[in-house]
Parts: sequence; structure tokens; C-alpha cells
Amino acid sequence: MKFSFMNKLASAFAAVMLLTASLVQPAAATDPNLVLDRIRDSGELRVPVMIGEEPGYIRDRDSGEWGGFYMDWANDIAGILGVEVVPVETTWGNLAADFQAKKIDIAFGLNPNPKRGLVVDYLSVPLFTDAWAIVAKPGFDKKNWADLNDPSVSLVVQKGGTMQVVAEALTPKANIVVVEDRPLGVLEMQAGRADAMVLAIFDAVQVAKQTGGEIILPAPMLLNPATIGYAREEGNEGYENWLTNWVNQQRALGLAQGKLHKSFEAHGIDLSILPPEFSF
Amino acid sequence: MFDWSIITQNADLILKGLGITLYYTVVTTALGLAIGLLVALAQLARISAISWIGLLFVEFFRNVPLLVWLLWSYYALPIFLDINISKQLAGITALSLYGAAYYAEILRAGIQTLDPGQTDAARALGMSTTQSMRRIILPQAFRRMIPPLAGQTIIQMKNTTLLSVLTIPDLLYQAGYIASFTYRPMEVYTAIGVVFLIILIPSNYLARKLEAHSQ
Amino acid sequence: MSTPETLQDKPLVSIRNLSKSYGPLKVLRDIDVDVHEGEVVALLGSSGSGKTTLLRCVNLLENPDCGRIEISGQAIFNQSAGGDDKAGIKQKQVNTLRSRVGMVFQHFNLFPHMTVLGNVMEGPRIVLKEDDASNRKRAMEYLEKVGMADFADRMPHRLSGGQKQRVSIARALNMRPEVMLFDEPTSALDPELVGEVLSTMITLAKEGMTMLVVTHELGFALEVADRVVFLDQGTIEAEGPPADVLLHPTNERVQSFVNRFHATAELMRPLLQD
Repeated sequence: MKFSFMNKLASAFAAVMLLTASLVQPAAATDPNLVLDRIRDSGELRVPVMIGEEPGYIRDRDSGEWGGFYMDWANDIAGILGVEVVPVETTWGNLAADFQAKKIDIAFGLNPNPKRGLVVDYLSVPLFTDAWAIVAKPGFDKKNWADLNDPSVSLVVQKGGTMQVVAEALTPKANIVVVEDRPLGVLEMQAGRADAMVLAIFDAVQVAKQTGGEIILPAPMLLNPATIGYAREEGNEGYENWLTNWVNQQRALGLAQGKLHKSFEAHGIDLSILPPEFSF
Repeated sequence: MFDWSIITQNADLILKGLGITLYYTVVTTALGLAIGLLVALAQLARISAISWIGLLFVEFFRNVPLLVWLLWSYYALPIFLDINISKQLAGITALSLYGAAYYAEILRAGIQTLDPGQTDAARALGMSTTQSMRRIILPQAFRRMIPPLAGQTIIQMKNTTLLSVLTIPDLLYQAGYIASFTYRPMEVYTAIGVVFLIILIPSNYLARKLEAHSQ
Repeated sequence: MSTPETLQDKPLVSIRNLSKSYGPLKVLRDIDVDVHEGEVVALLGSSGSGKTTLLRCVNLLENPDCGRIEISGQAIFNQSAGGDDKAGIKQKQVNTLRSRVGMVFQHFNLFPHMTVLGNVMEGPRIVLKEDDASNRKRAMEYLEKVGMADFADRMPHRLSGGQKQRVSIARALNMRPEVMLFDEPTSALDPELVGEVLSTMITLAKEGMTMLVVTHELGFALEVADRVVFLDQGTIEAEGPPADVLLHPTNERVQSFVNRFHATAELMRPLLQD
């Protein structure tokens, strides 16, 4: 009796397997328009926004509205796609999770950080290129990376940012202090625990203006490419290609560079320290 | 050295942040107490399956840091279960459940350390478990537990500062925001500390008065 | 106190084959006991004899292992040895039967968060769902009866032990129970307060209340009880009219118990003057 029950069970199992096999379709190549279509159908381009990132992201203190050159680019892209920009407030640290959780569609100004690149895709063309600089306490006179790479030097960097990667790569012998955000980095310098803070040049100028520190562009000048990030998901090839085209056009027409110059001027940022050959 | 004018100039932002902090404190304390009571009663249930669920709830939420719960609520639900959740709902959920675990233990202790003669008297009159809980046990347990409940609520208010990691505009978020364009974190964070003192010291005093009155 | 005729009626409380163990310790061994309407039965014995456990089984504050307990002919507990299901007696039935049995505790157990009047009204208000008007009127009558009417709005913690116990008697009476259980009602009282409580209990007894009293007050047992049940180590060693059991004990355990408490009887005489 037991034996025939097992037989029945076995044949039932086999039948189910056959039925399932016939229903499973062979893997088809995914439609490269999937993501583009999804964004256009949704009517929204969800863009991450953050405080403490002026002039890239500027939040109007009273109205709470978001602006800045990252938003200008976002609006441009959204306009062409025929959708609205929806700002999604977040932090640099949460960006990868935002992509994974499908809360955002695009992110601007990302350094192609390989660790983040394990979960996020980057465009291979940079949207703009800035340079790495330091804001130093008055009287600080080390002007190149080699001099900075010394145990007597204390450099402060923002946690999780590419500046931390740069410092660890170029100045491993220096004492590298990692802080949560930019104002805390300034505090480290004011408290005398750091000699200088590593920042992208336009951030450095901003900080120097507020705190009266000195801006130094360490030699040799180290370029910092900033590109666009987007979610790694099936069907995003069309999206990637389209964004790449847009970036190329922006750069070819000098639109990207022009926008940056205008933004910095409007914000009172004096970039005369940059050598004349330099261009975003 | 210190420039306090940035505080007066941005007092409106600080007040906005305070409003948000108080809102989340009140809502998550109320929800935490309600859920905590259910969990406490569950642990005291006679059906072991129910008491196990109560115990697991407490162990889960007490032993994982709140920051992790906040990020989990906001990101894990969409990533693993495809459920999109707003940051406000994520914040309320994480804070309420976290607080509930602590409130549950306080209430459970309050109920269990009550004189068993009270339950005897209630049962002897013919009261059902629900009636004796509602009329005799819980009113006394709550009164006895006012000091630890008040203490936990103060901790709950301080816990709300973690909401800033989800960019919910509470006091700590506003502090970061103001610091980001004034570059004066010392003044800003000092001001926030003072705001907490102004709110919590009188609250503590009220709690003590409440405890004295209930004796 | 009752007259001989009423002793022939069907018992108000009927206990058969009641057994209970706490782990290896047998606290009650196959006890049979009846209480008839209007009877005052005193349960005596040394500590650990099982008398309090027996009393608390009557309204199921303790759960026996097996046996049968009936109140006014209705079973509140019925389980055979090797016990399976409690013969389908639902909690609701138990609660209803409990509401017909009043209990007074050694440590009073008043509800500290309610006034004296609130305590007395609580049972009928919540369990019997009575309206407040008639409830309050009757509650005040019972408080009057125990001599605590002036304290109606006081909080329990302001009362002396004797006052608290009298309130707790009023609280039990306000449920208009068929039988009153007393668990060492004066053991926690200072000696000078014992009299006021015993006096209240004597009034009740004279009015014909059926009472089952666990007590150390031998004088009360002698002068007020109709019957004495003497327990030792879980069994009934002696049972009968108090004078027989206590003054002419045939059992040596009873004898040695009584010897220790001889003096108390003398104290009782004055209270019994009508």
C-alpha cells in the first residue's frame, strides 16, 4: 500500500514538472527601451536633492524650492522626455540605496567611484570635470601633493566621498581625518586638529569664502570627472545611450561649461585661481 | 569667536524643526505605548504561541539599533518587497515599533509586580480577565510605571534626531542645514542642545508631579 | 446562627473528593465538606494544613487537581482523577458563580485607586452592570452596617487595618452573595482592631449569612460557629459542633492545637452579650 502511494506521488510530481517546463519560455533579449518608456509613462523624472551641496543643489530657504545647476540639467532632460522633475531629498551616503530601492531615476555629479559602481551604472562620458583642491588654514604653504604626503600634515575629508579616496591614494602618509559632513570638517580646522580640507575646487572656493581659509590647487593638478549615474536594471541601454548623447551635445555646444561658469559667478565664487588652460 | 546672530537669523528654521521633532515624538510615543501594551499583554497570555510572539517582538526591536530600523523601513521594503513607503511613514513605523519594545517591558514589569491580591479581589467579585485588566490592573500598573514611562518618552524624543538620516526635517536636520550655509556648526548644535533642555527639563518636572499626585 | 431544621436542607456549598498537590506536596487529600444555608463553619488547623487552599478552591481562586465543587447545586468545578477536560465548565459560568460568593481576604485587597464607596460599588457596577443610583444607595447601607459610612469618600490608604477590613466586608456584601468566605480576616490586624471586625462578622452570622471562615480565633469558633472543621496535613481530622471538637477533643492533633490557644476564648465572652 505504501509502495503504490509513492508511485502515485512520483507520477504526480513528474506531471507537474512537465507542465511547468512547457510554460517556461526561453529567455528573450530585453527591450532596451524599458527604462526610458517607464520614465516617460510615469510622467516623472525623480532626481535626488541634498542640502549642503551649493551651488549644485540650492534650496530656497523660505519657499523650500530646489534649484542649482544640477536641477537646471535635470529640468532640461525632463523637458526633452516630456516629464516633470520630482525632487527626492536624500544624502550622498544613501544614494546607492535610493537607486536600489527605485526611489530615483538619475543622479548628477557623481565621481565614477568603483565601489558604488558595483550597484550603480555610470555614463562613460563626464558631464564636467573639476579639479581637486584644498582649503587650508592661513599660512599653510605646502603646494603640491608630494609635500602633503607627510605625517606632519593633517587633512580632513568627507566620509564616503571621493575626496576620501583621493586622500588615501595620494597622501597616505598624512593624518587623514574623516568627518560626517562639510561643516564638521570646517570645525576640525577651526579646532586646530586639521591643516587643510580636501574638496572639489568650486566647493573649496565656497568654503574659503565663508571661513577665510586659503585655497590651494595642489600640483600636479588632479582632475575630478563628474558624470551621471543611473540604476542598474534590465532595459536601461536605451536610457544610457540617450543620456550619453545628451551629455555629448551639452559639451560640444559648450552648454555644460557655460552653465557652470554662470552658476559660479552668480554665487559669487571666484575661480581665478584655476589656470587659464583649465576648462570644465 | 562665537557668532550667535546666525541663530537669531535662522530661528524660524529651528522652530520648524522643533515642530517636526515634537510631532514625531508625540505620535510615536502614543503609538509605541499602544503597541507596547498589546505586546506586554501578549507576553502574559496563557497560550504560549502568543507569548512567544510577544517575546520575539521585544528581542527583535530592542537589540537592533534604531538607525538600522530606520534605514530598513525606508529602503528594505522597496528593495525586497517592492513596497514603496514614504520617509514619513518609515520614520513613524521604525520609531513606534522601537519604542513599543521598551514600553512593553516597562508595562509588563508594572503588571507583573502588582500585588497578586488585587487580581484575587477582582476575580473574587466575578470580574472577567478583561474587566479586571481594564478596571483594576492596568490603571494601577500605569500609575506605578510613570517614572520609567516618562524616562522612556524622553529617550524617545532624543531618538527622533535619527530621523534626519532619512532627511526628515527635524531639529537635527535643520541644524545640519543651517550649518551647511553658515559654516558655524558649534553655534548651531549648541542651540539645538539648548532647545532640547528647554523642552525636556519642564517635561521631567511635570512627570515628577504626576507621579507624586498618583500616589 | 442557624437552627437545627435548616441544617437538613441541601447544602449551599458542596465539596466532594477534592485533591490538590503543589508538585510533590499533597495539600488537599480527597476532602469532602458541606456548608448548609445559614451555617457558620469555622475551618481550623495549623499553617500548611491546607485550610486556606481549601477555602480558595471554593471560588476557584486555586485550581484543584480533581474533585467536584457545587454552589447552590451548580458545579463550578468537576474533574475526575487522571483529569481530562473540566467537564466543559466555561469561564463565564465560573465568573457568574464567583459573583455569588463573597470573599474577604487576610490583607483586605481594597482597590487603592478608588474611594471607599468606589470600592464597594465596583462589583455590582462592573460585574452585575447595575445602575449607579440603586447601587450607591445599597452600598451606603452596607457601609452604614459596618460602621464606615462616614468614610465613603476616603481613599483606602488613609484607613486603619480594621477599617479597611470592614470596608472589604461591605464590598463583598454589596454583591448580595449567597455565601461569604473569610480567609483569616483578623490575622493581619493589630489586636485592638480585631474586635471591630469580629463584631461585624458576628452581626452577619446572627442575620443568617452562610459563612465559611478560616481563622485562628478559637473564641470566635467556639461561640459563633455552628460547626468546626479541623484540617491537618490535607485531611479532615475532626468535624462537628465547636464545643465537642474543641473542648473535648478525641484527636491528639486537635488537642495540641487547642492547648496553644486557650486564652483567646476568654476574650470573646464580652462581645457575645446580646
